[in-house]
Formats: sequence, C-alpha cells, structure tokens
Amino acid sequence: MSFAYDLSLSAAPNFLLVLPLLLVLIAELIANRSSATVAMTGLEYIRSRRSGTGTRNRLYYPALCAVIVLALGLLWAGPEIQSNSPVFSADVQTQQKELILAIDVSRSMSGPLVIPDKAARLAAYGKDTDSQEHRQTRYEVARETVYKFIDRFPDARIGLILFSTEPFLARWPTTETTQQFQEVLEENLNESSQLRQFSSLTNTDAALRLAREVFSQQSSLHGGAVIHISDAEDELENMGLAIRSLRMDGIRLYTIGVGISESIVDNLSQEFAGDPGFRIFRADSEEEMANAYQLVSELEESPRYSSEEKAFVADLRWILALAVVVLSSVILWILETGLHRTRVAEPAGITAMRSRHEI
Amino acid sequence: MKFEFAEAFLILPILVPLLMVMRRSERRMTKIAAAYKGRPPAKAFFAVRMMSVCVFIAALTAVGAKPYIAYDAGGSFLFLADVSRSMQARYSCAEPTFLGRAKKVMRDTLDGIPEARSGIVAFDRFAFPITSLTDDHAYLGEVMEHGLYVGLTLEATQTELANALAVIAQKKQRLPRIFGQVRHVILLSDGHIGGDYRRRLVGPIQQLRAVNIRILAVGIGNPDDTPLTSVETGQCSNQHIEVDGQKVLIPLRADILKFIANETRGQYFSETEIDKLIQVVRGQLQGSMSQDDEPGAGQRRDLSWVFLGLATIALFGFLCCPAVMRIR
Repeated sequence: MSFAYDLSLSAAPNFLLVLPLLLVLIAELIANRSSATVAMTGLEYIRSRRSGTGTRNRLYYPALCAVIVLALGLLWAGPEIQSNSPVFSADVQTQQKELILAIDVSRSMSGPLVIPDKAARLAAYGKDTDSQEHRQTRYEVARETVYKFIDRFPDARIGLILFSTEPFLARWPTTETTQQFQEVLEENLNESSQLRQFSSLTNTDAALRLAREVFSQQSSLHGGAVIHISDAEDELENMGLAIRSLRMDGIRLYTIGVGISESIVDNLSQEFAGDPGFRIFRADSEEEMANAYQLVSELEESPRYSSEEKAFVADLRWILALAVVVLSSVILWILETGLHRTRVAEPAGITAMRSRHEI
Repeated sequence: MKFEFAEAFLILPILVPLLMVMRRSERRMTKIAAAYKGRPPAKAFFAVRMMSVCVFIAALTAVGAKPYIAYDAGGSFLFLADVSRSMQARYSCAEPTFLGRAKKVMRDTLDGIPEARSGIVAFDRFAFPITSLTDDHAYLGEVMEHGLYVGLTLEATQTELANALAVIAQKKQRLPRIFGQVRHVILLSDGHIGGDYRRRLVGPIQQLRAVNIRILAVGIGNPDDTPLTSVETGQCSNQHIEVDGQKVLIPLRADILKFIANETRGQYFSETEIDKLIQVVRGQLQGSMSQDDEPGAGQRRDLSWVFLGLATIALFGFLCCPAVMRIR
C-alpha cells in the first residue's frame, strides 16, 4: 500500500486576518526611509562601515518580521494533510469503509432456518409448543450475523436497510455502532411487533436501489459494499439489473441467501462470474451462515478494499504552531543581536532646528 | 478548557533566553542613546515589546498543545419527528414543507444545546429510532438532510401518534442501557390525527408517565389550514392535491399536542418559541442530570482560534512599537 497525501488549507480566507500586520510592516519600511529618527545598526556593523549594508539591514527587519506574519497567516488558514493512512495518532478519519446491511424482514423470515427432518417433526407432533426446542428463525440468525459484522468492523460506517415489500432506511450510515442498532433490531418478527406489521413480501430490487441511493448521496464516497441477507429471490431479471447498477457505481454486493434455490445461486454466479465485486452465498444452516459471514469479512478486510476506502486528515496547525514558536524565537534573536537597531529620538535642539526649517 | 498535547508547554522555557536577549538589547539601546545625547525609548516601549513576545510565544505554544473545550454530556433527549404525508403541506413550492420547518426546529435546538446527547425517532404509521443517542450533531444534521423524509416507511399516509408514544415508552422499558437516561421527548408534528384522540392516547400517555418521560410538543403548521402541494418525481408543481374535487387541507391540531404535553407534565411550544424550548430543555436536562446521572465526555470544540487571535494581537503590538515611539 502506497502512502498518498494531499496538502490543503481548511480555512484559507482566514489568511487575510494577518493583512493588517503586513500593512504595519510596509508602513514601518516607508517610515524608516523618510523619518528623522536616527536608526543605528549594531556597533559591530558601524565599525565595519561597509557601503550598502545599511539599506540592506533596513530591509531585513521587516522582511524577517514578514516571515513570522506569513507563518501566522498560514496557521490561521488551517493547514492539513489528507492521506490514506494516519500520520499522527490523533488524526481524524474522514472517510471510512462503508457497509450497508440490507436485511429481509418479510414474513418468511420468521420461519426456522433449519427445517426439521420428518422424524423430528413426527416426534414433536402433539407435544406442547413450550416443551419443543426453540429453533432460531431466519431473521434471528440474520440478526446475529449482522451483529457479528458490526463487531468485526468497528471503524466502518455502517448503514441498515430493512426491507419487505418496500425498503426502510433504518439507519443512515454511521460510525456509532456500539449499540449494534439494537434500537431497531431488538424487535422480533412476532405477532405484536411493528416489524411484523411492516413485513409482507420481498422486494430485493427496491432494497438494492435504496442502498445505491444512499451511496450516491455521499459524494465523497468511493466504493463501499452492501451485505444483503434474504431468504427469497426477487425476479432474476430485476435482481440482475439492481446488481449491475450497484456494480456500475463501484459498490460491491454480497448476497447471503437463506434457503434460496440453488438455481438462482448458479444463474447469478454464472452471470457475474468475472466480477469479483459480487458474491452470492447459500446458507441453509447456522454453520453455512457462519462460513458465509467469515468469507465476506475476510474479503472486505483484504488490503484491496480496506485501504483504498479510508481517508485521514491530519491537522498540521498544532505542529506548525510549535515550529513557528522556534522560528520566531530564532528571528527575534537575530533581530535583537546581529541586526540590532538602536532607536533614538533626536535631541530637542535638532527638533527645534527642523521646525525652523534650518535643516 | 483542556489541552490534547499538554507536553507542548515544555517548549515554553525558550522564553527565558529570549527575554534575556531583549533585556540586553534594551540596555544597549539606552547606552547608545546616552552616547548620542538622544532620548532613549520610554520604559513602556520595552515593557510592551517584552509582553508582546511573551504573549505571542505562549499563545502559539497553546495552539501547539491543541486546546479544546469538552462539554459534559448534559443529559439525553429524543426528537420524535412526524414523517407522515401531512408533513408535506405548504402553500407553495417556494415555502418549506412542514417537515422542512420541523428540521429547522431540530437544528436550532441542537445548536442551542450543544452539550446534549440526542437521537431521532421518525414516525408515521410505524415509529422507529433512526439514530442512536449521540452527541455527534454533525451526524444528526446529515440524517436530517438525507435520512428523514416523508415516505420513510411504507405506510406514510397515516399519523399514528399513539403508536409512536407507546413505542418510545416501550423502548425505554426494554432497552434501559440505551434509553434509560431519556426523560424528555421533543415531539414535532402537526398533530393531524383523526378519531377520538383522547381515548387513543390515554394508554400511551400512561406508559410514558410510568417510565418518567415528558413530552415537549412543538406544533408545526399554520393558523389556517394548509394545502398539500403536489410533488412528482421529486419536483414540486405548485398544484394542490385534491381528493374528490376537494383540496386536502392540513390543520395544526395544537389542541391535541397541548393535551399530550399537559398529560405528560411537559409543555407546548409554537415554532417561534424555540429559544423558550431550548431554555426549558436545558433547564430540565440540568435538573435531571444533577439527580443521578454521571456526566460524561460530550462534544469537543477546538479553541485554537482563541489563542491564534491572542498571538495575532501580540504580534501587532510588537510591530507597532517603533511607530508608537516615533509618534511620542
């Protein structure tokens, strides 16, 4: 991975705040030329009596002061460096890997992930439902997988789409994922829940379109991925179109199909065989779901996708301020020693003569 | 005020040799003035120069130490924003919709209470939290701009205010770790609901009171009924929506919002009373914080500009010294 950077000024107009200081310096330069003030340079210099040095020294003072003023102006302008990896520990990450988790909350997701075989079904027949072993629903397994993804990418910007007949943007992409979106996902697809009322059929196409819109509304974003967990396939043609639109925008798509038909997996895999940005997994058990999660995570963690989609901004103001402290100390030292200027107001007698225009 | 890199102040001893050099320069100047029988600069001239240098160096060192102010997390509140179809009401396309006006109230409130942690719950037929409780007001602004719109969920045609209030109460009960500190909800709505609202709201209000949540209701709307302008493929057309030849008009049901506020021991505000709302929210948050909450690290604000300003003034003073002396 190469280190790419870009220097910029976050508040360039603020540079103008030092303009009055530059005007003072110019005024000082003009005044030094015409004023009757006797400006004496250092004794060492007087001894040397080299011609022309006086003029040069008269310029050095404002020139060196101008360096300090310009450095101060630079600090006002907010210098910063944008890079793809952090320069200082306190750098702010301005662009994160972006993931959108699109979860199917249609009615069928309330069914069990693993359908018991015939013998188990017969054994359970007639038994009280409370005494039967609780089987995780597809939605619950999908939710667990979502929690895992959120935990695995703590620095990522993650969004959430819940979809059934229509998609619902439950969370605009955020880096605050410590609560794992439990505010929304704590609900189950049981009879009394809002999600249950919301759930109906499956419209994958609309969910992927919404994901694409969310990405497109973030102009500074490059790439990103949609992790789509569903138990039903939309019309193959619609899905193909939605996938192609996402891929055209450089957005990767991972579909984890919970119990989807093998034919659709084969068809889509064949159609997008040459495209590394689209993967489809079929998960019929918790183990297969875990494998799919593992594969998607590893792909997204690969340097190919993990480095290019990050951007950091290092604030240079603080370090430049310290540099200006040192620089201005050195300049002040030079002004007060090597370029020492003794400012002496003229004696009263000379002032009187000047007022009588005798000199 | 705090400093992120307090170690930067270790550079301050650089002032000692600098002041010594300046002092020597002062002596030299006085000596030469005496030799040429001139008037040496006044003591104030040297004092101002030295002070300017000290302030300049110290202020820039402070900039290097990255000064900031951290607001203590001053309690939490939720915005309960109505995103039902009626929130698209406005007289003409030149005006903001009710939802646009509600967003402005939210932004102004957040600006007025920068220390608060807040979250947004959107409701129409359903009610869902669309953000977590956060002190990242920039993120909340982003959500308001892109993630809060009419038609957020499928059933945007209905305003189920009772459901929304019940959902908030249930969330606080079920997720105390997340919503435990929420005691105030700012409801932004036109209150446009049909039927016997008192009967429908009685249950949710009881639930809210049981979990100690007060509703601060902000009525969004106009004194007269407001039409719905037609929006097709994102373009407002200035045509008013009609049903059976009758314009669809949206009233501001302040009576319903006042009822909810009063029953939950909250308060009702109009859109023009945002300053009052901020004052009330801030006062109530501080009151609730002092009881049993631990203040946490809230939002940070960079204070470099304060010290840069000081450094600029000091440098200005330093550069003006010779001119002042000439005037003298």
